[in-house]
Amino acid sequence: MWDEIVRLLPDFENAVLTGLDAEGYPYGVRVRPRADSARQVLGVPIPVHAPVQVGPASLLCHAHDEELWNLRSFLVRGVLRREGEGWVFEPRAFVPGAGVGGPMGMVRFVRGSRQNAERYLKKRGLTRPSIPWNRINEIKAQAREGGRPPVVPSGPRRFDPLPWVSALYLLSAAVGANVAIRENMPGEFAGRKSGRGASADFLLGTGTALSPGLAMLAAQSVLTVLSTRGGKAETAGTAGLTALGAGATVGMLGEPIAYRVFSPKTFDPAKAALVSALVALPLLTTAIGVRRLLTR
Amino acid sequence: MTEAGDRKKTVSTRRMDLPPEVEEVFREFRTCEFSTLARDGTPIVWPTLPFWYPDEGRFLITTSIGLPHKALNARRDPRVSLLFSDPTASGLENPPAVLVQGDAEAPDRVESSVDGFEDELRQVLRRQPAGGFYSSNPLARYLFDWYYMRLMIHVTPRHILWWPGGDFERHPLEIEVDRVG
Repeated sequence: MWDEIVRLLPDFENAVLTGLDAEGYPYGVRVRPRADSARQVLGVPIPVHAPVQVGPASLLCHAHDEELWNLRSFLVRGVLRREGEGWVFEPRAFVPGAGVGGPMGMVRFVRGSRQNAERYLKKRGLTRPSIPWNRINEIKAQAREGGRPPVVPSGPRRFDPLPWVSALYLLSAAVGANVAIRENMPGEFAGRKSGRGASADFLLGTGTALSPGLAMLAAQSVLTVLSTRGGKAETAGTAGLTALGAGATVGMLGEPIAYRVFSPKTFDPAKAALVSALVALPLLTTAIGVRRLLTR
Repeated sequence: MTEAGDRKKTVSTRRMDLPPEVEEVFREFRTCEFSTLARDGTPIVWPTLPFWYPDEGRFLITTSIGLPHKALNARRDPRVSLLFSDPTASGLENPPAVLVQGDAEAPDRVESSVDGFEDELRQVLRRQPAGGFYSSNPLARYLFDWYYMRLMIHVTPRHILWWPGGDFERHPLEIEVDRVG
Protein backbone atom coordinates (compact mmCIF):
# COMPACT_ATOMS: atom_id res chain seq x y z
CA MET A 1 0.00 0.00 0.00
CA TRP A 2 2.70 2.50 0.98
CA ASP A 3 4.67 1.84 -2.23
CA GLU A 4 1.55 2.54 -4.32
CA ILE A 5 0.91 5.78 -2.46
CA VAL A 6 4.44 7.17 -2.86
CA ARG A 7 4.55 6.02 -6.50
CA LEU A 8 1.34 7.83 -7.45
CA LEU A 9 1.38 10.87 -5.15
CA PRO A 10 3.94 12.89 -7.17
CA ASP A 11 1.63 12.71 -10.22
CA PHE A 12 -0.79 15.06 -8.48
CA GLU A 13 -0.21 18.69 -7.59
CA ASN A 14 -2.13 18.34 -4.33
CA ALA A 15 -4.76 16.18 -2.65
CA VAL A 16 -8.12 16.54 -0.93
CA LEU A 17 -7.82 15.72 2.75
CA THR A 18 -11.20 15.06 4.34
CA GLY A 19 -11.78 14.64 8.03
CA LEU A 20 -14.82 15.21 10.24
CA ASP A 21 -15.82 18.42 12.00
CA ALA A 22 -17.26 18.59 15.53
CA GLU A 23 -20.77 17.86 14.22
CA GLY A 24 -19.56 14.80 12.36
CA TYR A 25 -19.88 16.29 8.87
CA PRO A 26 -17.11 15.69 6.34
CA TYR A 27 -14.82 18.71 6.01
CA GLY A 28 -12.38 18.73 3.10
CA VAL A 29 -9.45 20.97 2.19
CA ARG A 30 -6.71 20.82 -0.42
CA VAL A 31 -3.26 20.06 0.98
CA ARG A 32 0.17 19.05 -0.27
CA PRO A 33 1.00 15.87 1.65
CA ARG A 34 4.62 15.10 2.52
CA ALA A 35 5.58 11.44 2.61
CA ASP A 36 7.59 10.21 5.60
CA SER A 37 8.73 6.84 4.26
CA ALA A 38 10.57 5.88 7.45
CA ARG A 39 7.31 5.96 9.43
CA GLN A 40 4.99 5.36 6.47
CA VAL A 41 2.81 8.37 7.29
CA LEU A 42 1.95 11.56 5.44
CA GLY A 43 2.46 15.00 6.93
CA VAL A 44 -0.63 17.05 6.03
CA PRO A 45 -0.48 20.83 6.49
CA ILE A 46 -4.13 21.38 7.44
CA PRO A 47 -4.91 25.10 7.74
CA VAL A 48 -5.21 26.22 11.39
CA HIS A 49 -8.81 27.39 10.99
CA ALA A 50 -10.08 24.02 9.67
CA PRO A 51 -12.23 22.41 12.40
CA VAL A 52 -11.26 18.82 11.55
CA GLN A 53 -11.02 16.39 14.43
CA VAL A 54 -8.54 13.66 15.25
CA GLY A 55 -9.92 10.37 13.88
CA PRO A 56 -11.06 8.82 10.60
CA ALA A 57 -10.07 10.66 7.44
CA SER A 58 -9.22 10.08 3.82
CA LEU A 59 -7.00 11.47 1.14
CA LEU A 60 -8.18 11.73 -2.46
CA CYS A 61 -6.00 12.49 -5.48
CA HIS A 62 -7.81 13.01 -8.76
CA ALA A 63 -7.43 14.70 -12.12
CA HIS A 64 -9.24 15.01 -15.44
CA ASP A 65 -8.57 16.83 -18.67
CA GLU A 66 -10.42 19.71 -20.33
CA GLU A 67 -13.02 17.30 -21.71
CA LEU A 68 -13.61 15.55 -18.41
CA TRP A 69 -11.74 12.49 -19.60
CA ASN A 70 -8.41 10.77 -18.98
CA LEU A 71 -9.64 10.42 -15.43
CA ARG A 72 -7.11 9.44 -12.78
CA SER A 73 -7.86 8.97 -9.12
CA PHE A 74 -7.09 7.05 -5.99
CA LEU A 75 -8.28 7.25 -2.40
CA VAL A 76 -6.44 6.44 0.79
CA ARG A 77 -8.49 5.67 3.88
CA GLY A 78 -6.79 6.35 7.17
CA VAL A 79 -6.63 8.19 10.45
CA LEU A 80 -5.69 11.78 11.31
CA ARG A 81 -3.46 12.35 14.31
CA ARG A 82 -2.11 15.47 15.98
CA GLU A 83 1.67 15.63 16.15
CA GLY A 84 2.96 18.71 17.94
CA GLU A 85 1.50 21.71 16.16
CA GLY A 86 0.88 19.77 12.98
CA TRP A 87 -1.11 16.86 11.59
CA VAL A 88 -0.18 13.42 10.41
CA PHE A 89 -2.28 11.13 8.22
CA GLU A 90 -1.78 7.42 8.82
CA PRO A 91 -2.82 5.40 5.74
CA ARG A 92 -4.85 2.26 6.42
CA ALA A 93 -6.16 1.22 2.98
CA PHE A 94 -5.44 2.12 -0.64
CA VAL A 95 -8.44 2.24 -2.98
CA PRO A 96 -7.58 2.56 -6.68
CA GLY A 97 -9.90 4.74 -8.72
CA ALA A 98 -10.03 5.48 -12.46
CA GLY A 99 -6.96 5.23 -14.66
CA VAL A 100 -4.37 4.05 -12.12
CA GLY A 101 -4.66 0.27 -12.52
CA GLY A 102 -3.75 -0.08 -16.21
CA PRO A 103 -5.80 -2.19 -18.68
CA MET A 104 -6.31 -4.98 -16.12
CA GLY A 105 -7.61 -2.45 -13.62
CA MET A 106 -10.12 -1.31 -16.23
CA VAL A 107 -11.26 -4.91 -16.80
CA ARG A 108 -11.65 -5.42 -13.02
CA PHE A 109 -13.60 -2.16 -12.76
CA VAL A 110 -16.10 -3.10 -15.48
CA ARG A 111 -16.52 -6.66 -14.18
CA GLY A 112 -16.89 -5.48 -10.58
CA SER A 113 -19.45 -2.81 -11.51
CA ARG A 114 -21.52 -5.33 -13.48
CA GLN A 115 -21.47 -7.71 -10.51
CA ASN A 116 -22.42 -4.92 -8.08
CA ALA A 117 -25.36 -3.97 -10.30
CA GLU A 118 -26.48 -7.59 -10.51
CA ARG A 119 -26.29 -7.94 -6.72
CA TYR A 120 -28.17 -4.68 -6.13
CA LEU A 121 -31.06 -5.77 -8.32
CA LYS A 122 -31.14 -9.34 -7.02
CA LYS A 123 -31.26 -8.25 -3.38
CA ARG A 124 -34.37 -6.20 -4.12
CA GLY A 125 -36.00 -8.77 -6.38
CA LEU A 126 -35.77 -6.45 -9.38
CA THR A 127 -35.25 -7.50 -12.98
CA ARG A 128 -32.53 -5.82 -15.02
CA PRO A 129 -34.21 -2.68 -16.41
CA SER A 130 -33.99 -1.96 -20.12
CA ILE A 131 -32.08 1.15 -21.07
CA PRO A 132 -33.60 3.60 -23.59
CA TRP A 133 -30.53 3.57 -25.84
CA ASN A 134 -32.28 5.28 -28.77
CA ARG A 135 -33.35 8.21 -26.61
CA ILE A 136 -29.86 8.43 -25.08
CA ASN A 137 -28.29 8.47 -28.54
CA GLU A 138 -30.72 11.20 -29.66
CA ILE A 139 -29.63 13.32 -26.70
CA LYS A 140 -26.02 12.51 -27.49
CA ALA A 141 -26.54 13.78 -31.05
CA GLN A 142 -28.16 16.96 -29.71
CA ALA A 143 -25.23 17.48 -27.36
CA ARG A 144 -22.85 17.09 -30.29
CA GLU A 145 -24.82 19.52 -32.46
CA GLY A 146 -24.92 22.02 -29.62
CA GLY A 147 -21.15 22.05 -29.73
CA ARG A 148 -18.79 21.65 -26.90
CA PRO A 149 -18.70 24.38 -24.30
CA PRO A 150 -15.70 26.67 -24.55
CA VAL A 151 -12.99 25.59 -22.23
CA VAL A 152 -10.12 27.61 -20.90
CA PRO A 153 -7.02 25.75 -19.83
CA SER A 154 -6.72 26.24 -16.09
CA GLY A 155 -3.47 24.49 -15.42
CA PRO A 156 -0.37 23.12 -17.07
CA ARG A 157 -1.24 20.66 -19.84
CA ARG A 158 -0.32 17.07 -19.06
CA PHE A 159 2.75 15.91 -20.95
CA ASP A 160 1.65 13.79 -23.90
CA PRO A 161 4.49 11.40 -24.88
CA LEU A 162 2.89 9.93 -28.03
CA PRO A 163 3.84 12.61 -30.61
CA TRP A 164 7.31 12.96 -29.11
CA VAL A 165 8.05 9.23 -29.21
CA SER A 166 6.70 9.08 -32.75
CA ALA A 167 8.82 12.07 -33.80
CA LEU A 168 11.91 10.43 -32.27
CA TYR A 169 11.17 7.30 -34.25
CA LEU A 170 10.82 9.31 -37.47
CA LEU A 171 14.22 10.87 -36.78
CA SER A 172 15.81 7.47 -36.11
CA ALA A 173 14.22 6.02 -39.24
CA ALA A 174 15.56 8.93 -41.31
CA VAL A 175 19.05 8.22 -39.98
CA GLY A 176 18.53 4.50 -40.71
CA ALA A 177 17.42 5.23 -44.29
CA ASN A 178 20.46 7.46 -44.80
CA VAL A 179 22.88 4.78 -43.54
CA ALA A 180 21.14 2.03 -45.54
CA ILE A 181 21.20 4.01 -48.79
CA ARG A 182 24.84 5.06 -48.28
CA GLU A 183 25.94 1.47 -47.64
CA ASN A 184 23.40 -0.02 -50.07
CA MET A 185 21.52 -2.19 -47.61
CA PRO A 186 18.15 -2.98 -49.24
CA GLY A 187 15.28 -4.53 -47.29
CA GLU A 188 15.67 -8.24 -46.49
CA PHE A 189 12.54 -8.91 -44.43
CA ALA A 190 12.52 -12.60 -43.44
CA GLY A 191 15.36 -13.15 -45.91
CA ARG A 192 13.36 -11.92 -48.92
CA LYS A 193 14.90 -9.24 -51.14
CA SER A 194 13.15 -7.07 -53.71
CA GLY A 195 16.14 -7.25 -56.04
CA ARG A 196 16.36 -3.46 -56.16
CA GLY A 197 18.86 -1.21 -54.48
CA ALA A 198 18.38 0.37 -51.06
CA SER A 199 17.52 3.72 -52.59
CA ALA A 200 14.66 2.26 -54.68
CA ASP A 201 13.46 0.20 -51.70
CA PHE A 202 13.23 3.38 -49.65
CA LEU A 203 11.60 5.60 -52.28
CA LEU A 204 9.26 3.08 -53.92
CA GLY A 205 9.16 -0.05 -51.76
CA THR A 206 8.44 -1.18 -48.22
CA GLY A 207 11.79 0.01 -46.91
CA THR A 208 15.47 -0.61 -46.44
CA ALA A 209 17.25 -2.85 -43.96
CA LEU A 210 17.22 0.04 -41.46
CA SER A 211 14.01 1.94 -42.17
CA PRO A 212 10.48 1.69 -43.49
CA GLY A 213 9.70 3.14 -46.90
CA LEU A 214 9.12 6.82 -47.55
CA ALA A 215 5.33 6.35 -47.89
CA MET A 216 5.07 4.86 -44.41
CA LEU A 217 7.20 7.60 -42.89
CA ALA A 218 5.03 10.23 -44.61
CA ALA A 219 1.88 8.54 -43.27
CA GLN A 220 3.37 8.42 -39.79
CA SER A 221 4.19 12.15 -39.97
CA VAL A 222 0.57 12.96 -40.81
CA LEU A 223 -0.77 10.66 -38.07
CA THR A 224 1.60 12.21 -35.53
CA VAL A 225 0.13 15.65 -36.23
CA LEU A 226 -3.43 14.26 -36.08
CA SER A 227 -2.73 12.63 -32.70
CA THR A 228 -2.17 16.08 -31.18
CA ARG A 229 -5.60 17.36 -32.27
CA GLY A 230 -8.81 16.77 -30.37
CA GLY A 231 -11.83 14.57 -31.12
CA LYS A 232 -11.98 12.12 -34.02
CA ALA A 233 -8.70 13.32 -35.57
CA GLU A 234 -6.89 12.46 -32.36
CA THR A 235 -8.51 9.02 -32.21
CA ALA A 236 -7.66 8.33 -35.86
CA GLY A 237 -4.08 9.57 -35.37
CA THR A 238 -3.62 7.46 -32.25
CA ALA A 239 -5.10 4.34 -33.84
CA GLY A 240 -2.92 4.81 -36.95
CA LEU A 241 0.26 5.30 -34.93
CA THR A 242 -0.59 2.24 -32.82
CA ALA A 243 -0.89 0.09 -35.94
CA LEU A 244 2.18 1.57 -37.66
CA GLY A 245 4.21 1.14 -34.46
CA ALA A 246 3.35 -2.55 -34.33
CA GLY A 247 4.15 -2.94 -38.04
CA ALA A 248 7.49 -1.13 -37.73
CA THR A 249 8.53 -3.26 -34.74
CA VAL A 250 7.77 -6.48 -36.61
CA GLY A 251 9.44 -5.05 -39.74
CA MET A 252 12.68 -4.28 -37.91
CA LEU A 253 12.74 -7.59 -36.05
CA GLY A 254 12.29 -9.37 -39.39
CA GLU A 255 15.48 -7.85 -40.83
CA PRO A 256 18.59 -10.08 -40.48
CA ILE A 257 20.70 -7.01 -39.69
CA ALA A 258 18.79 -6.63 -36.42
CA TYR A 259 20.62 -9.76 -35.18
CA ARG A 260 23.86 -9.36 -37.15
CA VAL A 261 24.82 -6.10 -35.45
CA PHE A 262 24.54 -7.73 -32.02
CA SER A 263 26.47 -10.88 -32.92
CA PRO A 264 29.94 -11.00 -31.21
CA LYS A 265 31.63 -11.63 -34.58
CA THR A 266 29.96 -8.80 -36.46
CA PHE A 267 29.12 -6.47 -33.56
CA ASP A 268 28.64 -2.88 -34.73
CA PRO A 269 27.92 -0.55 -31.78
CA ALA A 270 26.59 2.37 -33.86
CA LYS A 271 24.18 0.21 -35.86
CA ALA A 272 23.24 -1.76 -32.73
CA ALA A 273 22.18 1.50 -31.07
CA LEU A 274 20.21 2.45 -34.18
CA VAL A 275 18.48 -0.93 -34.38
CA SER A 276 17.63 -0.72 -30.66
CA ALA A 277 15.95 2.64 -31.24
CA LEU A 278 14.14 1.30 -34.34
CA VAL A 279 12.67 -1.54 -32.25
CA ALA A 280 12.04 0.22 -28.93
CA LEU A 281 10.50 3.46 -30.21
CA PRO A 282 7.73 1.95 -32.37
CA LEU A 283 7.02 -0.59 -29.63
CA LEU A 284 6.65 2.28 -27.16
CA THR A 285 4.43 4.12 -29.67
CA THR A 286 2.11 1.12 -29.80
CA ALA A 287 2.03 0.71 -26.02
CA ILE A 288 1.18 4.41 -25.46
CA GLY A 289 -1.38 4.29 -28.28
CA VAL A 290 -3.16 1.23 -26.85
CA ARG A 291 -3.27 2.81 -23.40
CA ARG A 292 -4.65 6.07 -24.78
CA LEU A 293 -7.34 4.27 -26.82
CA LEU A 294 -8.41 2.17 -23.84
CA THR A 295 -8.70 5.15 -21.49
CA ARG A 296 -10.51 7.50 -23.91
CA MET B 1 -20.08 38.87 4.67
CA THR B 2 -16.60 39.78 5.72
CA GLU B 3 -13.70 37.66 6.78
CA ALA B 4 -13.57 38.77 10.42
CA GLY B 5 -16.40 38.86 13.01
CA ASP B 6 -19.28 38.90 10.52
CA ARG B 7 -18.32 35.74 8.72
CA LYS B 8 -21.70 34.07 8.94
CA LYS B 9 -24.92 34.97 7.22
CA THR B 10 -28.14 33.01 7.58
CA VAL B 11 -30.30 32.42 4.53
CA SER B 12 -33.27 30.20 3.92
CA THR B 13 -33.34 27.29 1.52
CA ARG B 14 -35.43 27.28 -1.66
CA ARG B 15 -34.10 30.20 -3.71
CA MET B 16 -30.85 31.09 -1.96
CA ASP B 17 -29.14 34.43 -2.19
CA LEU B 18 -25.70 33.15 -2.90
CA PRO B 19 -22.75 35.30 -3.87
CA PRO B 20 -22.49 35.20 -7.69
CA GLU B 21 -18.97 33.75 -7.59
CA VAL B 22 -20.22 30.81 -5.50
CA GLU B 23 -23.24 30.19 -7.72
CA GLU B 24 -20.92 30.31 -10.74
CA VAL B 25 -18.76 27.59 -9.19
CA PHE B 26 -21.86 25.41 -8.66
CA ARG B 27 -22.82 25.91 -12.32
CA GLU B 28 -19.47 25.69 -14.07
CA PHE B 29 -17.20 23.31 -12.15
CA ARG B 30 -17.12 19.92 -13.89
CA THR B 31 -16.70 17.90 -10.71
CA CYS B 32 -16.88 18.18 -6.97
CA GLU B 33 -15.34 15.88 -4.38
CA PHE B 34 -18.38 14.21 -2.81
CA SER B 35 -17.95 12.73 0.69
CA THR B 36 -20.15 10.20 2.39
CA LEU B 37 -19.47 8.36 5.62
CA ALA B 38 -18.58 4.68 5.64
CA ARG B 39 -19.90 2.38 8.36
CA ASP B 40 -16.75 2.98 10.48
CA GLY B 41 -17.13 6.76 10.08
CA THR B 42 -14.36 7.23 7.51
CA PRO B 43 -15.25 9.89 4.94
CA ILE B 44 -15.24 8.22 1.52
CA VAL B 45 -14.55 10.80 -1.17
CA TRP B 46 -14.77 10.49 -4.93
CA PRO B 47 -14.96 13.04 -7.75
CA THR B 48 -18.57 13.36 -8.89
CA LEU B 49 -20.66 15.40 -11.33
CA PRO B 50 -23.03 17.59 -9.32
CA PHE B 51 -26.21 19.32 -10.52
CA TRP B 52 -27.29 22.48 -8.71
CA TYR B 53 -30.97 23.46 -8.70
CA PRO B 54 -31.11 27.07 -7.44
CA ASP B 55 -34.91 27.13 -7.28
CA GLU B 56 -34.96 24.11 -5.00
CA GLY B 57 -31.85 25.16 -3.11
CA ARG B 58 -30.36 21.68 -3.34
CA PHE B 59 -27.97 19.51 -5.31
CA LEU B 60 -28.50 16.28 -7.14
CA ILE B 61 -25.75 13.67 -7.31
CA THR B 62 -26.41 10.47 -9.20
CA THR B 63 -24.54 7.22 -8.96
CA SER B 64 -24.83 3.95 -10.79
CA ILE B 65 -26.04 0.80 -9.03
CA GLY B 66 -22.70 -0.60 -10.21
CA LEU B 67 -21.06 1.84 -7.77
CA PRO B 68 -23.78 2.13 -5.12
CA HIS B 69 -21.71 2.90 -1.99
CA LYS B 70 -22.33 6.64 -2.10
CA ALA B 71 -26.07 6.05 -1.93
CA LEU B 72 -25.83 3.23 0.64
CA ASN B 73 -23.62 5.38 2.89
CA ALA B 74 -25.94 8.39 2.55
CA ARG B 75 -28.97 6.28 3.51
CA ARG B 76 -27.21 5.07 6.65
CA ASP B 77 -25.77 8.49 7.59
CA PRO B 78 -27.10 11.53 5.71
CA ARG B 79 -24.17 13.80 6.68
CA VAL B 80 -22.29 14.52 3.43
CA SER B 81 -20.18 17.23 1.83
CA LEU B 82 -19.37 18.53 -1.61
CA LEU B 83 -16.03 20.27 -2.08
CA PHE B 84 -15.60 22.29 -5.27
CA SER B 85 -11.83 22.64 -5.49
CA ASP B 86 -10.80 21.59 -9.02
CA PRO B 87 -11.60 24.33 -11.57
CA THR B 88 -10.18 22.37 -14.56
CA ALA B 89 -12.25 23.12 -17.71
CA SER B 90 -14.66 25.41 -15.85
CA GLY B 91 -13.45 28.45 -17.77
CA LEU B 92 -13.51 30.48 -14.53
CA GLU B 93 -10.64 32.81 -13.69
CA ASN B 94 -9.37 32.40 -10.16
CA PRO B 95 -12.62 30.99 -8.73
CA PRO B 96 -13.17 30.35 -5.04
CA ALA B 97 -13.07 26.86 -3.59
CA VAL B 98 -16.44 26.03 -2.04
CA LEU B 99 -17.34 23.46 0.60
CA VAL B 100 -20.99 22.51 1.01
CA GLN B 101 -21.91 20.44 4.05
CA GLY B 102 -25.42 19.11 3.96
CA ASP B 103 -27.93 16.39 4.50
CA ALA B 104 -28.62 13.77 1.87
CA GLU B 105 -31.74 11.89 0.87
CA ALA B 106 -31.13 8.80 -1.22
CA PRO B 107 -34.32 6.87 -1.96
CA ASP B 108 -33.97 3.20 -2.85
CA ARG B 109 -35.27 3.56 -6.38
CA VAL B 110 -33.40 2.63 -9.55
CA GLU B 111 -33.86 5.14 -12.38
CA SER B 112 -33.18 3.88 -15.89
CA SER B 113 -35.41 6.27 -17.82
CA VAL B 114 -33.95 9.60 -18.96
CA ASP B 115 -37.35 11.32 -19.05
CA GLY B 116 -37.17 14.56 -17.12
CA PHE B 117 -33.40 14.25 -17.02
CA GLU B 118 -32.67 15.22 -20.62
CA ASP B 119 -31.04 18.59 -19.84
CA GLU B 120 -28.70 17.06 -17.31
CA LEU B 121 -27.69 14.23 -19.66
CA ARG B 122 -27.16 16.71 -22.51
CA GLN B 123 -24.93 18.79 -20.26
CA VAL B 124 -22.90 15.75 -19.20
CA LEU B 125 -22.39 14.64 -22.82
CA ARG B 126 -21.37 18.16 -23.86
CA ARG B 127 -18.89 18.44 -21.05
CA GLN B 128 -17.67 14.84 -21.37
CA PRO B 129 -18.05 13.93 -25.06
CA ALA B 130 -16.11 10.69 -24.71
CA GLY B 131 -18.76 9.49 -22.23
CA GLY B 132 -20.98 8.90 -25.28
CA PHE B 133 -18.92 5.75 -25.83
CA TYR B 134 -21.08 3.83 -23.33
CA SER B 135 -24.04 3.89 -25.72
CA SER B 136 -22.09 3.80 -28.98
CA ASN B 137 -22.21 0.11 -30.04
CA PRO B 138 -23.77 -3.19 -28.93
CA LEU B 139 -20.66 -4.36 -27.07
CA ALA B 140 -20.34 -1.09 -25.14
CA ARG B 141 -24.08 -1.15 -24.39
CA TYR B 142 -23.78 -4.70 -23.03
CA LEU B 143 -20.69 -3.94 -20.92
CA PHE B 144 -21.88 -0.58 -19.57
CA ASP B 145 -25.67 -0.84 -19.23
CA TRP B 146 -25.21 -0.58 -15.43
CA TYR B 147 -23.89 2.94 -15.96
CA TYR B 148 -27.40 4.08 -16.90
CA MET B 149 -29.11 2.41 -13.91
CA ARG B 150 -28.92 5.33 -11.51
CA LEU B 151 -29.64 6.11 -7.90
CA MET B 152 -30.48 9.73 -6.99
CA ILE B 153 -28.96 11.53 -4.03
CA HIS B 154 -30.43 14.94 -3.15
CA VAL B 155 -28.30 17.12 -0.91
CA THR B 156 -29.75 20.06 1.03
CA PRO B 157 -26.98 22.43 2.14
CA ARG B 158 -26.52 23.21 5.80
CA HIS B 159 -23.29 25.19 5.71
CA ILE B 160 -21.64 26.72 2.67
CA LEU B 161 -18.05 27.88 3.10
CA TRP B 162 -15.81 29.38 0.47
CA TRP B 163 -12.20 30.41 0.11
CA PRO B 164 -11.70 33.33 -2.30
CA GLY B 165 -9.16 32.45 -4.97
CA GLY B 166 -9.15 28.85 -3.76
CA ASP B 167 -6.69 29.84 -1.03
CA PHE B 168 -7.29 27.37 1.80
CA GLU B 169 -4.81 29.18 4.05
CA ARG B 170 -7.31 32.04 4.39
CA HIS B 171 -10.25 31.92 6.75
CA PRO B 172 -13.29 30.80 4.73
CA LEU B 173 -16.38 32.93 4.31
CA GLU B 174 -19.50 31.14 5.38
CA ILE B 175 -23.24 30.93 4.94
CA GLU B 176 -25.26 28.98 7.44
CA VAL B 177 -28.46 27.81 5.86
CA ASP B 178 -31.66 28.25 7.86
CA ARG B 179 -33.56 25.19 6.82
CA VAL B 180 -36.71 26.25 8.65
CA GLY B 181 -37.14 29.36 6.51
